[in-house]
Amino acid sequence: MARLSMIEREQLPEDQRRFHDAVRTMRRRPISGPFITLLNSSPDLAARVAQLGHYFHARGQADESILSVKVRTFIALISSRALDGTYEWGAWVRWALQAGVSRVTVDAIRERRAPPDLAPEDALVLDFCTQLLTGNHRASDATYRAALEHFGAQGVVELVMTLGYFAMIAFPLNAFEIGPSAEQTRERDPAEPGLPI
Amino acid sequence: MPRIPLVTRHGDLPAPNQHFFDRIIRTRGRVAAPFQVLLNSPDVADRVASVGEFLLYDTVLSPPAKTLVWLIAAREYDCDYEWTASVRHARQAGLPDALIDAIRERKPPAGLTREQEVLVEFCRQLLRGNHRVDDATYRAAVEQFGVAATVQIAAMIGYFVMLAFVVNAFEVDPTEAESDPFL
Repeated sequence: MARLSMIEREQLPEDQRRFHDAVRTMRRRPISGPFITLLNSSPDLAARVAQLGHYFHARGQADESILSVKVRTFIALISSRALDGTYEWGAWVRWALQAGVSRVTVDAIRERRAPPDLAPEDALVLDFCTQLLTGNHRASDATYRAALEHFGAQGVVELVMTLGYFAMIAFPLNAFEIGPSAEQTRERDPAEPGLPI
Repeated sequence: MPRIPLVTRHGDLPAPNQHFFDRIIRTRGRVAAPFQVLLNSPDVADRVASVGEFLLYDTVLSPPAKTLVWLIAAREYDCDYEWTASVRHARQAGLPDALIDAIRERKPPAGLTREQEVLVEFCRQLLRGNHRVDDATYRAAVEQFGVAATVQIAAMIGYFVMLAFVVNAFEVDPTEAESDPFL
């Protein structure tokens, strides 16, 4: 059960409604997830976070990042699994499959197993992200160099920031136990297992 | 040595991207070390700076509360740079050394105020284990801080974790954390 509910535009003071409009414009869907929590606190902060998130989003509407949609959706899954982000997992698993992350890989990440037969790029992304998320949160020289060589300086910054963005929004989502939106529930594949925590 | 070219001057960026650098200077007065890294993707740097401005300067949390959140997040993600900067701010905000030491050593702190007790428990639960906050701790946080501030505590943890990835991945020099703004 979510600990907070949606703040509708008309519930906000007039001078705050422009932030609600900004979030809605960037999301292009009913507002859900992290923005429910942030709008309960500061619509200004919600708009700033939406602006950042738009850069990494992957619904075919936003291709600001130089990373492929596949890489971004894969990172969203890695982050959701590591931080037990059930909302994000539910939101992103379909987009990841659509973007070309394989069913076998999705299942392995969900069950915290090493995915078999990863393409070199996917193996590199998983390795880099896992090193930052676990242990002493450092990336080894070899992994870092491989990432820099493969993605370039801007690409490797965007890789780390994609992970960072999804991690950032995991904390408010988890703290307030935000579940899927009505739209996400409707669109969910009933055969798709949720993220066990 | 940072692992990536640092953007420290307006002229380090091609002309069409220089406005991103200029905006960070205009709004913050300086480009802190993590942003010198982030400016390798200039638009991203600008958007991160905008979120950070809010969480560092416009938050409803008091300086003793927010600096305690910073310390806990920096400790849990082993981020020397964030730790160094946060300790300095925490001392200025009046946090006792015994509390700072307990956070550094991941020990249960003693002699806390009720506010500190709730904050430490809430943040550690979010950052550890299954990353969930139990009902009692959640209720205590909302009672102590209110919903709006509790959201900002969680968002602030998230911001510090996000920037910890940047600092750790690119090995940003912790001695750079002596200047402000640091994130």
